[in-house]
Amino acid sequence: MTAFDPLPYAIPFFVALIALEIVWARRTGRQRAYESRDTAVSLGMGMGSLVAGALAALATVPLLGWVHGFAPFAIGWAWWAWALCFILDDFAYYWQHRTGHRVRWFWAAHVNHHSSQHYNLSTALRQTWTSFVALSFIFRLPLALIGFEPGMILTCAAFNLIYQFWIHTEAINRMPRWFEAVMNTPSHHRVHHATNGRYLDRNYAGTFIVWDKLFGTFELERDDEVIRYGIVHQLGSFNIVKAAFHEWADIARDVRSAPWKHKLSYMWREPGWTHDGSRETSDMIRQRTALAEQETAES
Amino acid sequence: MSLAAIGATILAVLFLIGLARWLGFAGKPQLTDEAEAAALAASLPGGFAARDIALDCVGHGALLADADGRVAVIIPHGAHFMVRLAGPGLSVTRDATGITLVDPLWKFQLAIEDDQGFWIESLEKAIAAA
Repeated sequence: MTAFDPLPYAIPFFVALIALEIVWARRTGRQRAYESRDTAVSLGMGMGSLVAGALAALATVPLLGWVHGFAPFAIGWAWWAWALCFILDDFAYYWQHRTGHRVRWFWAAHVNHHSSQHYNLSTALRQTWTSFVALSFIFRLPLALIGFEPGMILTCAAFNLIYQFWIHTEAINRMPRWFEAVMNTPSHHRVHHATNGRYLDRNYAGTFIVWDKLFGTFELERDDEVIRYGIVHQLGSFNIVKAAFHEWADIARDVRSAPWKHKLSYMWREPGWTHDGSRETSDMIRQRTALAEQETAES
Repeated sequence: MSLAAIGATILAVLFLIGLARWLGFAGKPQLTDEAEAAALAASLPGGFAARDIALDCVGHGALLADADGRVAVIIPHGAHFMVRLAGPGLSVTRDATGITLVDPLWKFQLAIEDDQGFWIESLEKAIAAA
């Protein structure tokens, strides 16, 4: 199978841009933009994800090939197939990412990308180690089943990931209007990483923001609201192992202590769900925030 | 990736961490007053209206209670503060120098000398009620 992996070629650019952003933050007095231990965790997660990704590929690449064998026709390597594959892969990414926030099993693999209270280019590299365990690869299988070459799918997925690097920054405010309308941008993605009630579980896009607009999950960044980054229950630790596995440990604890009929729900329901209502989901928080705003507006 | 590329990546990571540290991106944040602590607690998802506030002696954190008996804990985490509601998993102890909070993922001692009894009781009630 032919697959071009652009990621190793992108790493030097990642390093140079992070260094530039650190210097920019220093020169502009943004003393809270970076924290060396947070940067260490993010970059360590990034390096670990390269290893985890390589190991996962030992299973996912043959699986994609096997599924491709059932395709009714072969799309091949035409130029238009690349363009179509990239768009459809981004569509698959949208649903993978949305599921990653709405189903706790998938969230356990994705939460580490959000657990930094900083939002800078190093946060982009804070990638999962457990994506394969969470079965995130299943979202790419339909592309192989409809006939796209597995190598093409993997290359498009890698370019999608590379695109998302530059949007993890506060150094860029807004892009031109036409660009903001179609593409995922730093502004749209800041909303995605925010813990502010109104911003929770919004803007799942990878490259094209149009998916969020189509499926009702788009939220525009407001200039009158300071963004707070991280997760609803902040991690509070710079331990890389805890960052990688804490939600898996929490799931195990909840499943162990839950009544039998609720055990599975602690894996497939949304993060924050409990059988006794003792915690809050992001929907509940969004609702409470909206109510509070309404009351303030009326008073 | 080749071994050389992996080695270069590790060196680059160390360089970036060192650069951040060298340029001063380290150290604890400090609360200036109760108003700042109240504003931080209000930023909890869904909001928090503080009624009682106790600041750490050197501004490294705070405890806040609201009218519903909830307690918000503010402690430093890197360059930012972490704000959390006291809940399951958190345990509290007191000694001569302050109140120690222990969570499965972190531990922090707040130098709060006044009304320790009130805050311990409030924390324990909030943890039990959550």
